[in-house]
Amino acid sequence: MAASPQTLRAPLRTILRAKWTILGNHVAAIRSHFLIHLFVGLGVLFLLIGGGLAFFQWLFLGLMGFEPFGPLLMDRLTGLVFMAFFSMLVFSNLVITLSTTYISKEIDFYMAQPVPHAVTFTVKLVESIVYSSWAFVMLSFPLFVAYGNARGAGWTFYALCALLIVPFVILPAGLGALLTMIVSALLPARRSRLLTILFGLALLTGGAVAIRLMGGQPLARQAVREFDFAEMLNFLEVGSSPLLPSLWLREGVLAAAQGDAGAFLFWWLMLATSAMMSLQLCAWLIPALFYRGWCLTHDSPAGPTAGSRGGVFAAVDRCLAWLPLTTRTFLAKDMRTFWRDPSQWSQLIMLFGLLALYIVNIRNAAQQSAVIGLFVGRFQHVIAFFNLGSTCFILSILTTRFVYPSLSLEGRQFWAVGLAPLRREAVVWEKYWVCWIAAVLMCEPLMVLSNLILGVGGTMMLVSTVTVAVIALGLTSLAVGLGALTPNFAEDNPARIANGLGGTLNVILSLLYIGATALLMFVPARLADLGQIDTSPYWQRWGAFHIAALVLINAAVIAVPMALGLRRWRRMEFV
Amino acid sequence: MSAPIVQLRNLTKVFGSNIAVDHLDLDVEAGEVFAFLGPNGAGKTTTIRMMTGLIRPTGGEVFIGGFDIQGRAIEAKSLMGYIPDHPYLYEKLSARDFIHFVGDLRQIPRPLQEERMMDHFDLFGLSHAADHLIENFSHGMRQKLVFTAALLHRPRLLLFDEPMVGLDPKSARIIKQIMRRHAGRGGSVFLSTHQLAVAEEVADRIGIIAKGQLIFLGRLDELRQRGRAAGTLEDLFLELTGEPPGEIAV
Repeated sequence: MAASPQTLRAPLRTILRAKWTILGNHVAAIRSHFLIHLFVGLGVLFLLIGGGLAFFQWLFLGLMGFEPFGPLLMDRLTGLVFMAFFSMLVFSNLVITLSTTYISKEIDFYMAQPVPHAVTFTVKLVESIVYSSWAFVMLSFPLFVAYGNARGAGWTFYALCALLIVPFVILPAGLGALLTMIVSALLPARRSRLLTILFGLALLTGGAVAIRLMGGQPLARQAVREFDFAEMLNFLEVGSSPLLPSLWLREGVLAAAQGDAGAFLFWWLMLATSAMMSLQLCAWLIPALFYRGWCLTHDSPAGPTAGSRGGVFAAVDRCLAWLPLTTRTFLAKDMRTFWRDPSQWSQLIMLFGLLALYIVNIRNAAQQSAVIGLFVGRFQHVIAFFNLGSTCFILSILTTRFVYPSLSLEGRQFWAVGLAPLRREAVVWEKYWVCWIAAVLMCEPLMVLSNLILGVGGTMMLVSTVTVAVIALGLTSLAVGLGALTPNFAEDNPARIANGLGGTLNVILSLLYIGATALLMFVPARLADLGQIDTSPYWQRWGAFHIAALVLINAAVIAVPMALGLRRWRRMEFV
Repeated sequence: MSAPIVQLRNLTKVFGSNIAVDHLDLDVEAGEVFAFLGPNGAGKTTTIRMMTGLIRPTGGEVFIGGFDIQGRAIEAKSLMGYIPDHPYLYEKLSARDFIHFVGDLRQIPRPLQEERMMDHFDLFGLSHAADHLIENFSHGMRQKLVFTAALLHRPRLLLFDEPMVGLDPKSARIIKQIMRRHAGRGGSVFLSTHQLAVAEEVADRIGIIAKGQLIFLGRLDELRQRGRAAGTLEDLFLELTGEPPGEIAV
């Protein structure tokens, strides 16, 4: 039986009030490290918003100068970016709903209280919307500002964009929650890993099919050479099906910029009514599916764990027989604990899903860069550097989320590891090399594949693959070193450890490191592309300075955090 | 005579090929402390989690105060206070915030929440930490806070899953007194434990579960009588549950 709104209101208010208090206490805890957080916050704002704004301003203002095709191209590109955002929002909502609404221990607490299931679900849906959309809001902000600037829009444009964003982030949350609810209620037992894999595969397949089917044709390179704008714009119709919410947002933004109130209202209503419908469908299905699905995800069959005696783990153990026994022991333990923790898994799958989406998008970017290259000089090189930066950015998220908490998680087991006849630092070095090898194995194929898709030359291929390997070393050093410097032994949830002060510091230092390295490489390359560098002594000194700065920054990032972390780890007291 | 506060009817839970609880029939009366004993993995926690609605039974039914926990969950949960074996707490709330949170969920007026909270905090020696964040609490302090939260709405039924773990002797004694006082006032306590001494001290009736099946149900004196034949209560418990005595050569 569905609960009435009156019975839902009081517990909903109570829970949201408690969440607010928790947020307040988090902020109060930050006060003692206010300067560090201010520095971290400003750094992130500067890098993400400032960098994004500079890029989009440069691109949009460049395109707007080429009437009549430039503005049209800008709109189509904006639509493609919105489509990528929408796919990411649906995907992240699927995974976040699964972990917060079904696997979280907090739900056990609510279930034991006289709280209607609809309230529990609503609270978690709100959390899911917040967790999954803040990145979209951050990333889309520079896009909206640059778009508004390029079109000379007034302040009402930005207010209207804010109105469009609200249903645009609610709709994927509603769809993600709906899909999670249905699948959880249908699967017969705890199948979190299977569930996330299924979600991932379904979404990726669906996304790839949608991109292929929903408008647009593959772009013939001949079209670019022959300046065939009709065919180029047809290619950029990818994702322009009237059924896609990203198109509704694109059209709404265009209407807002042009001051067309009727068109804006129409597209806003398309988004708002769809978002409301997704929530209403959730509300209808909660009584029948939510509790059932939640119970099913907690029904774990007792008995031996798959692979505990043989199978894949034993095969991997045999393959690693050449390693020293202690290294092998740590590796065996890390592999098994990682594989058997669904919360780790779901997030890794999400990241791999994002990577796959990235590859799909880079294909589009390759063809778009050919079109934009007609307007903006050597744009393919800009995209290649952007690709290098993006790969390193993805790696920094991985090292913060998975590598940084790894030493904190060892703290509780230190009665076993710490009393073993080993040097204390052994565990730190094990994390370091395993993480670096894993990072290289993941990022190098990604780099090579995306470079091949972009069609970059041999020099850029060599430079980017070497850069990724070196930056992986630096990012691993930062994550492991800071993990040893600022461990949190009280927490056993790796996501929470990564979200703490040390994890935040790791993100900002990683971004600064990537930003500095990318800038020191990009500026000379871009100036050379534009023919503004010659072999005069001035430019030789300038080049030597860039190389020295590059080497110095990388050497410092690779060596200093590990040295500090190892020193702290040797002196650590495990109270 | 009023209906039993807890009625378990043919209660069964199967995980894969493992029968965790096997056709369990059990009543707990008002004014009774019932101790549910069994070795590790016998099915005690699974039974309690089915009683609270945290797990759905594979078969059978649970009635709390006459309300089916599956069909009338809100009414049934309003009657119980539950102390899980691993309670979830919000680390960034203070003890007072947490009690207000639980009290508001159960719609208890704030002044009454404060009064009852301070009574229990004084009893447990927790008053000095009322406004400290839970993240700074020791295991025992957390356990005391969970007790306070579970007792806040004066439930008719208290469900305790291994409640003595981590408590100092004084707090453990207070908890035992609370159980007896609760039963004395007409409430009921369902206590899951593997500590025979605790059961002996507070329970009116004892149920012993092993491999999901109820293998003994009776009053404490009945168990004691059987115990005399077997040796100590511990010997009887091991005999009933089929556990090897675990003797080692000295």
